[in-house]
Amino acid sequence: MLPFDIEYYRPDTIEEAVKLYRRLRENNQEPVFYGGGTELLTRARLQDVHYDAVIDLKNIPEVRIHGQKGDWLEFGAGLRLTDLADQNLWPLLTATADRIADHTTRGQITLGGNLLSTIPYREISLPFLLMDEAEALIATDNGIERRPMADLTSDSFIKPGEFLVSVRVNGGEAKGVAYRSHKMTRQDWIDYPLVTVAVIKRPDGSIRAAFSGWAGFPFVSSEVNRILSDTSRSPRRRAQQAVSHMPVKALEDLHGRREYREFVTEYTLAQILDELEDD
Amino acid sequence: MREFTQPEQVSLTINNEPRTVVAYPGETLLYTLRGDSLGLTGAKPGCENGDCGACTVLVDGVPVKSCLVLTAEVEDHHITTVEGLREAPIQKAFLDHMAFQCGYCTSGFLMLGHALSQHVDRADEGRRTEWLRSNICRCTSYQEIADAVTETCSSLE
Ligand SMILES: Cc1cc2nc3c(=O)[nH]c(=O)nc-3n(C[C@@H](O)[C@@H](O)[C@H](O)COP(=O)(O)OP(=O)(O)OC[C@H]3O[C@@H](n4cnc5c(N)ncnc54)[C@H](O)[C@@H]3O)c2cc1C
Ligand code: FES
Ligand code: FES
Repeated sequence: MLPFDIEYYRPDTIEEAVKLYRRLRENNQEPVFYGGGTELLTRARLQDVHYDAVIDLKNIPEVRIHGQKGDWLEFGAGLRLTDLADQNLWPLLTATADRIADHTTRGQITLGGNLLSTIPYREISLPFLLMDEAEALIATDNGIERRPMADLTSDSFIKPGEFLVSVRVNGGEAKGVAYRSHKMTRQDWIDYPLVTVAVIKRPDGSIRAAFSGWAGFPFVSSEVNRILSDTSRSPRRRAQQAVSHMPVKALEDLHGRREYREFVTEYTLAQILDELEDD
Repeated sequence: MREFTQPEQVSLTINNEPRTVVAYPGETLLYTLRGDSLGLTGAKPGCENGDCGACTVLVDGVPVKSCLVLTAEVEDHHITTVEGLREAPIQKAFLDHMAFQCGYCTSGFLMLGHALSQHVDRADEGRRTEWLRSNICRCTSYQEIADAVTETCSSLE
């Protein structure tokens, strides 16, 4: 039971949802878009978030889209993480999804909710951040707009009143890479990450890595990718250099000290680079 | 569009029986099940934070932490609680293996085990381990619980 009263709405179309948000705001209400609710309900119980209406998006057909259309792999924002794994359209996405939370909770967390989570990890974003051709379809007052997934963590990615409908990636690019996705936790298998690293090796041999848990937001760095791709150095040396050239300092929090995060990230990267040498 | 702005009647099928309950829009399924009107107290409130799994029930056959879902979301869906198992093989296996001590976590684990046993074709060891990680037993009966689930799945294969 939530510690405050809310209204619950389940629109059937994108237009209904956008208009409803606007109407509720005009009535001075505080609506939120609702995916799986795992974050909205737990944070409400702890009273560190307040809203008075939820707009459950899961009944909108475009938000449930899941498949390949032409060159694109399309993933609706309302898909559960277990849907992604069951259909396994994009193995790198499955590998990352399968390490988020526990199996039952993954059956409740949605792709959109994790991508737009207000907590720092947003681990499911990592595969998308590694792609050249990955875009989000956002519902706005002016209809559907396409925005690059590379802008996910910028303020302009999604504005109040807008919601994520789906995400799509170029299927050829997404499936044409060797990949690894490793989540390192402090102790338990199920926990927030000390660091989660997704790494791809592209057909030209270049390496890209995306990180969650290292900072207060997921990120990729072109400088780190350049270092990781420099095969004149050993995997271990590249991993060391990458960690010392991260664009932000490692977090120091409950899950681990800065030095420990650096150590774990370096170790994990070295292991992944070693494995990818043979792929 | 479904609009639910004040307490109102919600239809659910619970343990194969159609039921109607009055629920608030912000009411979790856990709260509705345990309330006076349904009185199904098998699903336990543990952490109410998605961590422990003591509140696990099945929605359309899929395990769900009922503290993490609004009753409004599951309107017109099929809910199975531990009260609906009625001598399912997983219950006998828990008894045979003494897979509990205090019993607080038991109904949640039973629901997970029951759901797995409905899909034995896919319930290999990796999957069983992965599913069972969703719940916590404070008395640490994990080995006995895993044995009971394994036995149930193997016997139904
Ligand atoms: C037991 C447990 C374990 C967890 N473990 C992890 C973990 O390992 N890693 C991790 O990253 N997180 C973890 N989480 C946090 C997890 O709750 C959130 O990250 C989750 O992804 C939120 O998804 P949701 O679909 O439940 O979103 P909701 O709770 O519905 O929403 C979350 C936020 O996203 C917004 N939102 C949702 N959908 C949309 C949309 N389509 N368009 C615009 N905005 C939208 C909401 O308004 C809200 O601000 C865990 C949570 C629990 C309960
Ligand atoms: S009470 Fe629901 S997970 Fe603990
Ligand atoms: S038997 Fe006591 S918590 Fe599991």
